[in-house]
Amino acid sequence: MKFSILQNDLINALQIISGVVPTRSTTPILENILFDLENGILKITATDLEVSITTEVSPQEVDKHGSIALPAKVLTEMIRSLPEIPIHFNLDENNRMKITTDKGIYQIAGISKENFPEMPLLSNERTVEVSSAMLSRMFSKTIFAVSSEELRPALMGVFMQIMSDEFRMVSTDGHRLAKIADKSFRYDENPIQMIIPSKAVQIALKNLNGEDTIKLVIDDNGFRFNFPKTILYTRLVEGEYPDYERVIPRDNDKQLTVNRNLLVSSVRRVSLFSSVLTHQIRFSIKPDKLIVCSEDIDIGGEAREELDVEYKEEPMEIGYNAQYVLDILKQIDTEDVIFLLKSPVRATLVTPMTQGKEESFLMLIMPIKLGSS
Amino acid sequence: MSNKIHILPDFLMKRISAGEVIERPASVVKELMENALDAGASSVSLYIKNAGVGLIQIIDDGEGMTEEDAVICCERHATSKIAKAEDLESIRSLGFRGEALASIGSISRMEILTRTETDEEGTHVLVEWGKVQEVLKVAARKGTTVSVKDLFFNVPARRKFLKTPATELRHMILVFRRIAIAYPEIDFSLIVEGEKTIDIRRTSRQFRIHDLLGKQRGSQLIPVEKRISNVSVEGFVSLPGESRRNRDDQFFFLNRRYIVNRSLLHSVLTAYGPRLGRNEYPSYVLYIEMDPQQFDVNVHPTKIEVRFSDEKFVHDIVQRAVQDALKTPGVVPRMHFVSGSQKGRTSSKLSYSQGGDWGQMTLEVQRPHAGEQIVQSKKHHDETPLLWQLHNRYILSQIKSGLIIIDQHVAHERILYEKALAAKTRNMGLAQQLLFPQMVEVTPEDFLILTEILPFLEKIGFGLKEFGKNTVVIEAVPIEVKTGREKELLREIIESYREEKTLTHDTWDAVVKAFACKSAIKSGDRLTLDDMASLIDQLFATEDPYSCPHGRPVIVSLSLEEIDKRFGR
Repeated sequence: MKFSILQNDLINALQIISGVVPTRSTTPILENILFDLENGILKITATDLEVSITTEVSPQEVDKHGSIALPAKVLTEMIRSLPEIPIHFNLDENNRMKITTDKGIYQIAGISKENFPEMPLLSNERTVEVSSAMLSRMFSKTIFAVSSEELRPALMGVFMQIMSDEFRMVSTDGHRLAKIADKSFRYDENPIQMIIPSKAVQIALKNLNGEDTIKLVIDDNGFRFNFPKTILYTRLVEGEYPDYERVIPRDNDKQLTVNRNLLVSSVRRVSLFSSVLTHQIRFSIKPDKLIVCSEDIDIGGEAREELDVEYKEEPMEIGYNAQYVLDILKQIDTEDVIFLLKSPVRATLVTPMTQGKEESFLMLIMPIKLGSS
Repeated sequence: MSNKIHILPDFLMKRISAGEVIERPASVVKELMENALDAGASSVSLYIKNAGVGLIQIIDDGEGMTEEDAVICCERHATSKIAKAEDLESIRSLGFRGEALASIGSISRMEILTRTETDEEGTHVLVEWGKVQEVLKVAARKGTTVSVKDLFFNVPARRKFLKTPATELRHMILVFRRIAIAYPEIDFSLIVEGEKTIDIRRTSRQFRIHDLLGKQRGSQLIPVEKRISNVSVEGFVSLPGESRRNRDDQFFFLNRRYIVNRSLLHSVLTAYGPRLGRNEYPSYVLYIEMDPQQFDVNVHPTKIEVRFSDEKFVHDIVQRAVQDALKTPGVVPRMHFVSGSQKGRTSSKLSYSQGGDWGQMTLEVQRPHAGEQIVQSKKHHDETPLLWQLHNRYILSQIKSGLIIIDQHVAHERILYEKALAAKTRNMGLAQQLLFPQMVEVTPEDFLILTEILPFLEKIGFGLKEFGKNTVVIEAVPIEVKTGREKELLREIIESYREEKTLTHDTWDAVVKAFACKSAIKSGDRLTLDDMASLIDQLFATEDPYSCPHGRPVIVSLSLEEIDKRFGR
């Protein structure tokens, strides 16, 4: 294996895949990345066995094909710190990679390709084509509510539903939920649904830009994104996704309309005075008035802000985790945001003031019941 | 017809009454040592031969007796300590009944050798089986020497009830220790079968305790100090987790008299509360000082039992004193390596003594030096707190004097315990409502328990609804609870509550403990740096960061010195 490549080209490729390399792994080989030079194209692969990614880059010059796994961290750091100059790679027969630039010579011990896990092949695969923009938007609106608790694995990913007349994504951690759907989507075959692990979603988001159409290749256990020069493979989260439709309230009839930016700033300030443990704040809702307040008994702090809102129903006191409220408000693109309420112990439904064309987006937040003091 | 009832001959009366006071050789030791102290001795030596039956000899350098006194004291109720009835109200001396020497003299061969400061010659009195046999003028040192030989020789019944020589000797040493601890300003020596067993010089209370309980053990005690109105309680108690499996190291002194009192014992145990495990006894040395008019020692001839005129008051003061000592900030168990032969004890107790011989690893208490605080890992924005997680089980943190090790599970348990307790009083357990209510089916028996503790769980923050037979729906959980395991948690709480309930009658306490234990992060849970920092912050915000609700230690410290020592520096 012998080739020359521009620093800039190589570091871009390395950055695409570096998110997959596990920092501390019980399988040391995974801390390496695989270089595979074939037909004049360098393929760089990283995997943590759940998520695998391969990206292609064209070297300036190719002298000899071949493959080798190299330690990810030292290689990436070293390439990153080089200026934009050509880099020459030369692998000897003892699997030592000699890297030469006009700055100097570096050598790294590599591991032969056979030890590196292969990218899984899919069987019975089905293909769906979607726009990069849609996928990106839907992932970014749902990823925040994905659970990080390993105790309920099914919630640790984004639930993707491909239906005949709708493309839908849902996420929830049991305390809040996000659901977004594109109704312009059409799919003629049997509906498909799967849970995509959040790590894969995060990496996909980095690669989803531009107006391309992305090919999704799906089988029973895995899922592949075919980006123009990159292939991202992920295993699917096993388990059954909870019946979220059942918990989306239909009868929340008390509507609170409030300016998103003003509410974000208020909640942010007031939450500084809430308990660091619970982040609990209180909405005291009165006709056309919203009072956001918090108190931390342990440190004796207290805060209260008043906002003009639109609200015509009877007064209500409701507690929330401020962090959840902020997360949800961050997803709202419209100037105003709508809170649909029922009672202080029932789910609050949050939507943007107006829905995007052919889009349906809603979020739920479960309140914190306040002590009966 | 001759009279059936007649006055007992004097010698017989003495012998009977002696039985009340002198039960065993240790009683002789006690009476004679107390006499020596009452005589103002500054040095007391005790010689024992043949488990006290051969010889008990007390040599003091006290004020001594005149010839007249020396003879009279061998008669019954002879005493220099009280003269009139009112004196009984204000007993400050140890002995007062005036029967000790007479009693001992009636059941042994007793010799007294004594001289006062002013007398030129000393007096030697020989008493055999209650009769003064001879009185001689002899040369003698200032002070009194009482030698008791052939004890119980004329009371076969008593002799028969003596235990093995080893047991009798142990009792004598116990008595000796009690007195020596109460009088640190006096030199004591104990000579058993010609061999000096104990030889201690006058010193402070603390060092006297070191001398008698062992240096290591002594240094593991926390000081106690409390004074309320005219009652003062001082002394030392052992750190929770340092408790022993027997009651040998428990001492109450009332105006310097060793006493046994159920109510006081109870007050100490209450102060320790749940810090003590089953079959564990704290060590303590507590000196109580109060007006003699407020208690009565004249309950039992051995004067070991005491009746207080206001028992509740004394009980409460002792309890508060010990409680405050246990809460002292900075009282942190300190890890202490002894030898290289670690047995790898993995039980929750880091150590307990075995037969007085301290085991592999022991904890000791040390207050941080002035100005030193446990590093509360307040996150400065520019610096990462010095925290590490060890085997997903312990959190290590650097402090000025070395290292502290925090057990993550029990630390969280302590935090949740106090939160839940607060939820009761402030009535504000925060309930995070669940998007997906969880249905739990339990056994009929558990369902009954659940119904019983339901109101308590709701106060902590659970939202539970009955849903048909033996089934409940969890609609909300306390905000501290991790999502995803609500069902298991509820089952575990019921299970744990059942166990806790066997230990306490307080339902609320049992529920809170069960909740805290089962909701806490587990050993094995991976924590982020932020998780650890937040856990430590919360821990030090609790009232008692050093022990978990079940009394296990939460924090152990390891000093740089100890580490240096391990590296042979």
